[in-house]
Amino acid sequence: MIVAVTGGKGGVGKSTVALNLAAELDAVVVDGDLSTADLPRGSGPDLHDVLAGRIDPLDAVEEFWNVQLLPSGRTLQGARAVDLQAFETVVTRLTRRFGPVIVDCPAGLAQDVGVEIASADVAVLVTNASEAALSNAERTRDLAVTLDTAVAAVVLNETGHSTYDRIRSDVRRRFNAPVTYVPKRTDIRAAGEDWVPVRDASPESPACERFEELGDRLRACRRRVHRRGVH
Amino acid sequence: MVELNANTIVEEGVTFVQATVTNTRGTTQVIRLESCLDGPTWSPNQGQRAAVEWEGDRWEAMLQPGERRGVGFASPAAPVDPPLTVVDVRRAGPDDRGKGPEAVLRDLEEWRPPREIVRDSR
Repeated sequence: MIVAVTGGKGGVGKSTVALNLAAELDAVVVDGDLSTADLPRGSGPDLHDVLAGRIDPLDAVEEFWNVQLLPSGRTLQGARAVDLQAFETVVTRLTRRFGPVIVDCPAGLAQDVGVEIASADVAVLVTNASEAALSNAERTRDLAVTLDTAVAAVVLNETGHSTYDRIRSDVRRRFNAPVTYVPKRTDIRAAGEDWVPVRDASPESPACERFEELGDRLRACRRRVHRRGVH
Repeated sequence: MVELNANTIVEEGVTFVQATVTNTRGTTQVIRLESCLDGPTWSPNQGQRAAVEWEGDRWEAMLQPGERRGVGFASPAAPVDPPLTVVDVRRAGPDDRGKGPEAVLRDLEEWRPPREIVRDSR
């Protein structure tokens, strides 16, 4: 199963959700931001090399804090050599070898995001409770629907339980997808700064439950995707 | 699946059926409904012609995830319960859409690496 973690707006915590979801699902996480890489730098070949056809995707995956990562490149030359059309083949190859693949999509709604969403079986929309972020996420949702990629969940990131309780039914209706939340917590932020999944950095943190719940939803989707005969 | 809620009223021997149909799935679906009334279907008009969703006793439309549409028709036949039934639901394919995913992707803003690529990594 290939999961696109997306949402339109920058700075809402897509990478944090992608990393923690990858830890839950024992998945490979792909840094899909080809211009402004956000996940950690690797020590060897990267996604630029893979999308330029210079190296096999399986040879560019490396382990970073118990998470398998395909890092993005960091040079203009590398980005210019990228063939976006190769993205789907790359993630399909990864999912056949490793199982679940989480793609941390860039912000915006340009072709890079479109190709990554179209290559995925399901999308997870990350937003916060602000109207600006919600309307960006809604535009991303409309794109996903047009590209025939179902929305598995909407994550209200950095949102407290009381706000979640107040807006969840509206958000659910607006997106027609299950809604969950991740509170704003210093332990999530601290783990995120070192790119460590919360469950490794602070196993006792109540935040772990939130990512477990998201993982459970994705596992349920995975069973449905399998029944449809995909991967 | 699909949610269908319908009710009928009878006025001066004419049965009016009012319904809403909702696509509760996460993907776009083509939904087909059929009148259960034992008589002719008087479908609504759009200008001079019957509404495009209607063909005889059947109504068909493509609904986005979460989309709800109103459906209505009249008939001289006596009311029955239910007055309308779902006869087919299928996931919309490229033939159902005017525009396939490839065309949608082509129409998005082109991706180009910015000059000041790459913020320094940690």
